[in-house]
Amino acid sequence: MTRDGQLAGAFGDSNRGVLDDDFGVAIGEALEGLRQDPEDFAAGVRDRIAERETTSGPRPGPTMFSAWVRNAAAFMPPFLIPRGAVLDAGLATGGLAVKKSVWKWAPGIVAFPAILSVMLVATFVWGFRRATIGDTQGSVDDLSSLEARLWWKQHRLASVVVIVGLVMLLRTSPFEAVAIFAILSMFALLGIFGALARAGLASRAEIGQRTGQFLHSMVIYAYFLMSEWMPSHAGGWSRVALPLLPVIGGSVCLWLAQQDRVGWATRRNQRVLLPIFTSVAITFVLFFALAPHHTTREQAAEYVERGFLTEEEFGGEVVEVTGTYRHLAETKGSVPDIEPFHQALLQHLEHEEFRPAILWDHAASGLLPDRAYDFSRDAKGEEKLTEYRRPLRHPQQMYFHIANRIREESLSDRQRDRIARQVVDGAQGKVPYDALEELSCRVAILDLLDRPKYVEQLAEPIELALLATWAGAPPLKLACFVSSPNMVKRDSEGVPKRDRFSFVHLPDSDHAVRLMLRFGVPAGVQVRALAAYLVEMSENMMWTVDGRNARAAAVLERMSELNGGVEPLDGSAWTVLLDLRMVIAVAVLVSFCVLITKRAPMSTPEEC
Amino acid sequence: MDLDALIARFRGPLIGLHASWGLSARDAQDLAQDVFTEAYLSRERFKGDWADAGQAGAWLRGIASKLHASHRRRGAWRLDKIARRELARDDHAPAASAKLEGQERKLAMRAALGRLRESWRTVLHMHYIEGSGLAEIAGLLGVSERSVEGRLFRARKELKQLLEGADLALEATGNAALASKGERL
Repeated sequence: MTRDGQLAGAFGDSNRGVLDDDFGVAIGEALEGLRQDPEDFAAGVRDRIAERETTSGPRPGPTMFSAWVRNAAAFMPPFLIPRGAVLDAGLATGGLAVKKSVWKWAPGIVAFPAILSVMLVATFVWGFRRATIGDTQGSVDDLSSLEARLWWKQHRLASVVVIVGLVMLLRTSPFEAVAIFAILSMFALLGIFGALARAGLASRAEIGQRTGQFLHSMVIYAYFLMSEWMPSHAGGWSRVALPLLPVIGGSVCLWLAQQDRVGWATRRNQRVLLPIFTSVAITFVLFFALAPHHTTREQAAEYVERGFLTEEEFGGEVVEVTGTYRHLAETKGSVPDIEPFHQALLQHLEHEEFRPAILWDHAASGLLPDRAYDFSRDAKGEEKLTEYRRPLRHPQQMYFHIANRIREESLSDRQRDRIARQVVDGAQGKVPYDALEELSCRVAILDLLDRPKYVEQLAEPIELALLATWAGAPPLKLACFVSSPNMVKRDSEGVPKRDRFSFVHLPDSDHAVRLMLRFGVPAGVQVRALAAYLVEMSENMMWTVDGRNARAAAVLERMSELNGGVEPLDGSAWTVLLDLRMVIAVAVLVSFCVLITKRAPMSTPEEC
Repeated sequence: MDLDALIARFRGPLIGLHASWGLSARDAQDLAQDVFTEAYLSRERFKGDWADAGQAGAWLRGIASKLHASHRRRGAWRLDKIARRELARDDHAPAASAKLEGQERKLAMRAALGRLRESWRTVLHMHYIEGSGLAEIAGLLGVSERSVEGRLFRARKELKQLLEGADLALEATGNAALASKGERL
């Protein structure tokens, strides 16, 4: 028999339920315990209606419990909706009622990303519990996870759209835009709970449990905020506040919920303790393992004292050790022992080619051991040095020619003057690639030649180069110097555009600081924003300090001289507020949670 | 709103829906009554057509799921699960020496129903408690009548196979017991 034939036999023509075939009758008999006398059933319904109409007080009207909230709650999985609100039967079921007024869905749509993030955490927690505890037969969580699965099924398309949308937003917009969107969404979700509480449809126990769990689950997201939203000079406490505020606020909400003793009595403690334990554990892991840590002077000194050199990273390591040591030596505090590094350097030079473009800075800092100069000799180049008549274009390559001639005292005053003139002339014109390092080298050569009047002539090209390579875009939060003016993205009016900066720009910023320490900070360069960049570069992960972290920390240490002498940090109230905007936003969110929990009505025995 | 007509159309499917969510017969009936009560009290909010099984079913389904969530939060779910486990234990222990007849057949049927996929078990419950119509079931589940029809067809087919398997197993168990008894004699 075909399927249609079988169906026709099973259901007949009337499309009404039938028990007419033997198998159907057998199924019906097996389910007879569920059957109830129709009259008794209808009488039971009437009795309940009569009881509700006579005993219950005035039901919340549309003004108390607006369609906005009702429709917004339709996006929530049942376990997120308080029981009191569930009893208001219109909740989350009014799809037919609101199809003609789409705008009423707005709060729900705004709250959807927050609901989605809560669902992600909840699904993870249930999955984790199922994997670790096993099948929770008889557990309340069984149906919750069932509801969660149903929610994912019903909202899979919307979830995918929101996630893809957020990823796109992250890729195309500043992080602030996404964060503002997320915070608005969280406020919308909390607003729904607040409205339910105000309408008397949710008890303090219910609201407190949800706000508490919501804030504890926020700890996970706080990590991302923490890494992206680093106040430049607000200190470590503000970063700690980001994940700590939700933990404290969540605990307060749960404590307030427990004050509603009647409502709380129906809840199981482990549902509260688990999120607390989880969030505290996560906070611990995030802070003490994964969170970036500021590199201290001592750690930077330890990096220098390691004294290792690898063939692959030779250039980078020499430059970083040099930069770190130089700044540490010129600031107050203990100076690291560089001897192990020099031993390694000399061993390296025994069998490798001498690279003046890398080692000039080490020599200019007065650190290169005398024996190392032997490897730098280039008789032909040094001889031709005095024959040049053109401006010096590549001073890093020429540094050791000049240095060796000075060391053997084979340059006359006239020759020194001519070379100094060539060095200054070479700095004129277009700002070249690696201009700041090049200008640092020119200054070092002029110092070597002992020609201070020529150093003064470099002030103008140095200011031009500093301004051309300063990538600070308003509003300034974090900025640095880059290798070439071409790397600064500018709008049609020539104003730099915001950009993400990496460690690639650290050498340029290091040389810029050195130049500014000597020649002053040009108007338009914000030292505070540069300090923020150096703070970020000095952050190390898992307490592993590399050369970049050490160099950035050392430069940052040196910048204190720059702050005091040239341009004070902009410490206005507005700047501080701007720096702490994410901490403030989280604090407001936490306060809002505590407020709506505190204002929620206590349960009555009848409700339980 | 004709409450009696609404009850007549949706009583069976609603009890079946709640039962398929794991509630005991008494709780399923209680909650079904609560659903009609809430639907009546909030009737002014319903903007659809009560005669339309799809619209009325969607409204009732929303109330049912929320009331069920509320019922579960009161802790009753835990008791239901325990009751269900006890029932399942009984279901899986029919007398080995007898054919599937009478009460034992019902128990076997209920045990087989318990092993069905949830969506199939739901439509069987909703349909066969009172022989309710496909339109009401479809309305409550938010699917098409054709879909309900298909689920019923597959559920019946699967149920038959489960029962046949149980039948054969019992026969084999009974024969083995008889043979063993013969050998001992």
